[in-house]
Amino acid sequence: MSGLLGVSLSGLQVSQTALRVAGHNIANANTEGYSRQSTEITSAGGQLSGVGYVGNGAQTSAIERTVNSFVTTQIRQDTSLSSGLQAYNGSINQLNDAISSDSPGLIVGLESFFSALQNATDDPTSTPARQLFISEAEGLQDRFNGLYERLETIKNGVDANVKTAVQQINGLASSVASLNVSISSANGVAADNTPNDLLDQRDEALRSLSELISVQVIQQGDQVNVTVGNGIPVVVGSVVNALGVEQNEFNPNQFDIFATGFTTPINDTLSGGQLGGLLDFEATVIDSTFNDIGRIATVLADQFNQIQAQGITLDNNFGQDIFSDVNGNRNALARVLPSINNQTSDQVLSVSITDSARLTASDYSLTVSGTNYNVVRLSDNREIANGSLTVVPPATAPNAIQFDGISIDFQSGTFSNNDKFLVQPTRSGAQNFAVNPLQVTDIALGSPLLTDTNLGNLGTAKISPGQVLSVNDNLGVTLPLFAQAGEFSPPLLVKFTTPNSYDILNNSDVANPTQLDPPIRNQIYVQGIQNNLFPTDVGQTTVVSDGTALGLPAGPAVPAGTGVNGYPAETFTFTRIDPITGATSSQNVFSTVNASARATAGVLDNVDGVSAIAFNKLELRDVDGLVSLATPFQITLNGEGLVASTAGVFDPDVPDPALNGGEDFNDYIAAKINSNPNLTALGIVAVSAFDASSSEFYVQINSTRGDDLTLQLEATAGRSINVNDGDNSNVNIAGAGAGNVNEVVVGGRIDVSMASDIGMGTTPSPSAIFGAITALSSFVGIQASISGGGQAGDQFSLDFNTDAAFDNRNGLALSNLQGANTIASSTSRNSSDPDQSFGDSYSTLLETVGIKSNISNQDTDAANSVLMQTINLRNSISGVSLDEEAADLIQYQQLYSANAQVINVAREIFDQLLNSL
Amino acid sequence: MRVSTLSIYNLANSSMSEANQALVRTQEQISTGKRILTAADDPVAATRIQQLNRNIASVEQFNRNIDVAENNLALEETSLNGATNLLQRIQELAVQAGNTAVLSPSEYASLADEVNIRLDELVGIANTQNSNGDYIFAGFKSDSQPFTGDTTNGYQFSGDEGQLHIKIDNNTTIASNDTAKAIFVDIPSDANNVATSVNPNNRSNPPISISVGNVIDQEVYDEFYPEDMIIQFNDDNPGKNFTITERSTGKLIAENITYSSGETLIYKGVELTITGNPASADSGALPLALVGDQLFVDSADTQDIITTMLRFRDALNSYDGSAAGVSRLENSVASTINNLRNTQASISEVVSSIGARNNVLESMRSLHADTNLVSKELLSSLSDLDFAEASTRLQLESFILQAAQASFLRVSELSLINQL
Repeated sequence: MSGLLGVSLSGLQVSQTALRVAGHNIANANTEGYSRQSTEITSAGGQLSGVGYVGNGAQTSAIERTVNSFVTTQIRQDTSLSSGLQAYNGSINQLNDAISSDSPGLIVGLESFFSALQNATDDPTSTPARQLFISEAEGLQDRFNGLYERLETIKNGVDANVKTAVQQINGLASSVASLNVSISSANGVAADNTPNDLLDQRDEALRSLSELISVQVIQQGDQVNVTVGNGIPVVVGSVVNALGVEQNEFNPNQFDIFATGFTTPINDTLSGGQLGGLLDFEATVIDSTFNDIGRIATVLADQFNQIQAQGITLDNNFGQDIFSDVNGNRNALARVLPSINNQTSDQVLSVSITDSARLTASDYSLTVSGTNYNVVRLSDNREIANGSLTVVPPATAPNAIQFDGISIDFQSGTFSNNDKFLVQPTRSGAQNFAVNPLQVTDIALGSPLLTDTNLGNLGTAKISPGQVLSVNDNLGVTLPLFAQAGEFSPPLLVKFTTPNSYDILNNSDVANPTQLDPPIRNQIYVQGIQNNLFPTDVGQTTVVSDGTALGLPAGPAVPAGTGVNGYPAETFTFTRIDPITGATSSQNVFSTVNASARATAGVLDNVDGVSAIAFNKLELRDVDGLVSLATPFQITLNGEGLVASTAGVFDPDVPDPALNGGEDFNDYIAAKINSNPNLTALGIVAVSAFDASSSEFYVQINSTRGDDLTLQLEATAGRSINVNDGDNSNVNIAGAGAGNVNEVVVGGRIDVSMASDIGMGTTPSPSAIFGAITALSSFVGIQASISGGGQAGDQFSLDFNTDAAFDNRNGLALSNLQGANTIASSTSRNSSDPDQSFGDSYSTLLETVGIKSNISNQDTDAANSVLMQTINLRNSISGVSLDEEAADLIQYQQLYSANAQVINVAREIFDQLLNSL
Repeated sequence: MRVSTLSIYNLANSSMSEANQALVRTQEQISTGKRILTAADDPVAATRIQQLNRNIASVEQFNRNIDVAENNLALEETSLNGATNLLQRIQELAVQAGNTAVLSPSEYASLADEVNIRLDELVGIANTQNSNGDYIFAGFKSDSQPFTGDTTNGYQFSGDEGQLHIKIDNNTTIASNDTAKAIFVDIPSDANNVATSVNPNNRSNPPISISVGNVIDQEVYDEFYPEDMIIQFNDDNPGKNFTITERSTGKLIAENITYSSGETLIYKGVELTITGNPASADSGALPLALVGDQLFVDSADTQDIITTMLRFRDALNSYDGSAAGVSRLENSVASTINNLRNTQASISEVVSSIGARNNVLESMRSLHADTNLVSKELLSSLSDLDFAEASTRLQLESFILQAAQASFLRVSELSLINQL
């Protein structure tokens, strides 16, 4: 009897437990991470009786949760992937919106800025147009600054999220650890029964953790260990190794993630989950966007300021910076961030932009190792420069490293082994882009160069308006021409010496223009082409011949045919330094004994990058020393007889040399030279002139080609003339009677111009032709051209363009920046070859971010649907189905009723038995 | 497969939210009329759209620039037409003046009066200002009158050769003005001529001035031509005196001539006057000897139209009816007519160049119009929404959403719990 009661009681208990489990399932139908539980019911076995085993009823052997550990792991992986992509996607979409929407978009700002510039250029005297330009420049500043702020906001948001994510990771890690403890102790109490809900909670905590970061879960007994990245343990059993957030080594506004026991940041090793997505966004997108936009701002400001400096304002001043100087002290210092781990903090480094067209969008790392440094470009991890610190510590010695259009200047401080610096040339460009306070008159729309064709010119040649090439020399120092505001120092004059040659002179004294230093003289003029007047090579230098053997130093006249110019054979060495590799190469050329200046110049001219111009000068003086016109008498120049006679009788137009202090005779000689086709073919011209200082008449004979000038005299003994080379003192040529001809030979001079990076040396040194070599910079900074037919004496002036209100040439140069290729894209062959305009560069940035954003959208969608499928799979295994539970309820309710019925039967049997008593 | 209750809700959730997203996007596309809302939608097309927008904007700016150039040229052309008419009238007067047999000295005086008035008018034209107050023929120095002086002493041209260029295409600029130097000053002269100037480095203050200079003895001057003269003030001896030298040779033309302001000087056939108080040289000054003021009389084969008219007027005024006077006047009339012809040729050259530039502007404008059209078409094909397709899509998407909602309602009602 009691057996029957016991059996049905066990049935009641079993069905009650099952009903509770079903109730529990229903109650948790919506609980995150809950796995449905089921009741395992087994038979309670039997009791051996005489007739065999009599059953003892049922018992609940276990309450189990339905899980598939493979699916659980899969969910964690898919969650990490999906939430990583989602975090990345959210951020990049924010960035995409920030840079592609029209209102803060730079494109619109650039367009209206350049539009306003063109309007002002069209109408350079219009105050409203200039005012509008200033307003638009300020507008552009707002655009750049605003864009920077938006990027900063996005970056700050990401940083904040990173910090929060790390805190959440730590929180979840400690939940996992404490659940590990609870599970262990639960197992300790009842080893056979699994603590289902604790396991669910731990699985859910791990899933939540994988939303934040990709984790590896390693089962160890009934506990799990959790690692992140490449095996960095976060949870080991009951121990939590919390992740830490610390200030970046270089940048106090940036955070790095550290793990317990690690000395270097683990940012790079972390992936997946929200944290991984955010870190990925920071590393691959936001920093380069800052740099790309900063580079546009920096190049724009720099190029604008450079061209502005080449122009003049309405007040006749050279243009001052429109935008704040990219190399201003504050900007230059802010580009270098020292590591907080450096041994000392007294180092002062600055980075200045030397050639904005070569600027890259990369950051660089500068590391000191021992007494050496090396610089790595972070965009491609290439070592870009290395060398030794010349003074260690280079306490005061400035020591510059130049590459990629920037220069790192060591200003002061102690530099120790392992000191590190982060160099960010462009990072803050958009933030520091600022318009200087400007007046409408300050915009340099005019060019300082005013060319003028002299009204008295007889030729048809015209000079072009010309342009300024650069106001600075190759070291960045202002060229002498532009040293004074409001004037050229000196004003220049182009003067034709023959129809085919010209000098460029210092026109400070209009009445008496003088040679420049170094001179630009005897330049060859070619009709029918545009003759550029000035060198374009900023590093060009000129050496002027100044040797002791030059010209007609001394010595008596010698018999005809024996005269020589006395120039020795010399060796000229030209050394070229390759500007990129620094390698030097040299070339020797040789002059021969007594070679004319023309011949030697020809030899020098053959050297690549060297051009030599030869010319010669002779003065014929004191013709009154000839006393009277009497035979024998002849003066020859380079073999051409100048005194005309027929059969020993002088032509009637030959004047007496003694008349009028020789003026008439000089006029005659000059005219003879100028009309002699053989001499003019050699570029020899003569002028009969008056020397006011000595009050004497003389003939000046010039050779524009540099041939030797050989002057011979045949005259009665006791009569003589004087000859000099214009610099040295007179040499007397005395008559020696009929048939005895005496001569002097005047050697020519050479100007040698050399391209930048070429130097000149001589053997012997100093040279008898060139003297001690002094190479002077001959770059003037302007360019103009002359074309058309010139005549000797024609003049063209190049002067400061005073009061040029209506000049807009510099405005046009500024406007041209809009379409000019000023920025090197990543696909450019090399960084010194800019291939994009400002607008192009911004479009490329937009496209890059757009593509990343587009791909990220697709990836996120895909990862999401994969995750959804896995979640569905898990739900189909572990999820609660209310229908199922309802059926269970009915089933166990009936079971309960049946058992209760059995008890009822037992009770009735018992009652009957009692009643029968 | 087992379906858990959560799955049903999750599925409904995600499918409805997806349908909603698609619907909102299409709705946004329709309301903006744009196919591409951010660069992420179609990065390549978005970049292209931006380039096209930039093209369109720059073409619009070029068109505005062309407007400015056209306005400038129109004003210049009007002024030059006035000058042409005026010169026509002077030519008539010159022809009339050649009629020495008929006209009396007093009639010449009245002709001279008209020339004088026309001269003022011509100076007015040469000093034309635009709406900004710029002197359009002054070159770069548009802030000051290019011709200053008076009808007695002549007019000096103080402008330059500068031209304002306007950007009408990426690599093309066009000159939107011409200067008086090219139009009125640099005119081939019938006879060899002089151009006078003062050295800008002169120390005298107020600076001394030199008259325009007049070749009165052409034969003497032609012999000297093309040499230039330098007039240089010497040390006081004790009065102010000057020396004239030939520029290229340094030869003396006249030495130590006593100076008196305003006196008529004639050297090498050139008549000129120097006025003012020149700075004398001081060769004993320390530390550097001081140079006296300098004046230049340069040879020229050009003569500006104003000087031509001044000389014509002077010739008319000085006509006295004598035989020598007749021959002088006839010479003057002949050279005036030639100089007028040269000036008219110069003006018509400039006018035709204005015409040519207008043609360039016009063709550039139509080129820009074509570019604009093509760019806009391309832009439209890239960025504009196909409304028919979009509204069909909207219809479909809203239908999908409705279906998802309806089916969820039905499925969610099916639960055994409800039957308990």
